[in-house]
Amino acid sequence: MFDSPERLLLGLLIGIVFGVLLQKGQVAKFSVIVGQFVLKDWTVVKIMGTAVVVGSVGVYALVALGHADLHVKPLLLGGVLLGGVCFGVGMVVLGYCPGTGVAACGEGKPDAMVGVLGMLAGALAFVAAWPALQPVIKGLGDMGKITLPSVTGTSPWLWIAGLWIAGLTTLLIVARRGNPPSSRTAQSRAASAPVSPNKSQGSGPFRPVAAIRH
Amino acid sequence: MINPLTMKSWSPYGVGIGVGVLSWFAFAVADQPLGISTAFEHTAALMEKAAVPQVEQTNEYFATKAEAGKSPKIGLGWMLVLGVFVGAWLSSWLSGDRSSEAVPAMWRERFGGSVPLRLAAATSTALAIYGRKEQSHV
Repeated sequence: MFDSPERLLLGLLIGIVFGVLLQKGQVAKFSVIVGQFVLKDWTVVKIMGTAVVVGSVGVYALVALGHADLHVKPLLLGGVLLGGVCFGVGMVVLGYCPGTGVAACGEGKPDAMVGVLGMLAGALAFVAAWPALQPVIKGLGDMGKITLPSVTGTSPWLWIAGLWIAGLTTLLIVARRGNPPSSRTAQSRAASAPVSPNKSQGSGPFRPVAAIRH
Repeated sequence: MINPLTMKSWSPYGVGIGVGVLSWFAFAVADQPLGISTAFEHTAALMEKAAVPQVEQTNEYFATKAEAGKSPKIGLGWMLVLGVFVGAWLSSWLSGDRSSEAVPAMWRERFGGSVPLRLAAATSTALAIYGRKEQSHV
């Protein structure tokens, strides 16, 4: 029923850091999440792209050194297709994904609070309907816990190199085309409450990294 | 130097690096990925078990999860979700970046300023978000 107190505390600490990052990343906001889907605000791609390239190399290094295990989920095509479509509709209309929705509750947003209740209702329905859902989820086959390196019999580092090239290229293109964060702040400043001018944005990409380490 | 926690926002690249490094930490120390939705599923399963104890026998969800060593519990992942709330609250409180606005500006432009409409849409489509859980069976 409960993990050990140390693990509970560890979870809370990881969560607090994650929550601060999501809030400072401005992704606990409807305009930023939906702005990404209408291709007007590239914050989500910048954060996720950077997190994926940084995360992949570290996690695979930990696995190679024997300090971590991958948690590969089975590839169930029926579940992925149906679940993906449901998730997409939900994310765009609600304007938050589960993690950013919880963070938006922390910011005080009522729409995110009812959204979290909706997600809990969805989870209640999912657990109750679990036996009936199995044929749908496995309808298009269960391909097992596969990864691209395991299917192709190649080194994961080959794929990580490819991921870095693809990720950095995307980030470069986005950095040239995407809105700078300051223009978004200017828009929200015009739209809502006045913002004190001395609380400025981080100036360069590396300054906030120092901020995270503090 | 300005306290970074009182800043309204950080560079998205810096935040991305932070999330990436946090995921290394989660894998190495906690042996699990940064995930949110499993905690909702476990909360729901525990609520259903508390309300109708027989459900543990009648719904094969519980037997399957127990067999895989993944019985619903208040665990590290559950506390992580609580932590996200606390962290976002702390961060927005320190920077003053808080809002109790139910209808976002972008939504108002398209669908009008009705609060009940916005909240109903948010609640009902959040249900669909949970459909993503269909992606995994254990």
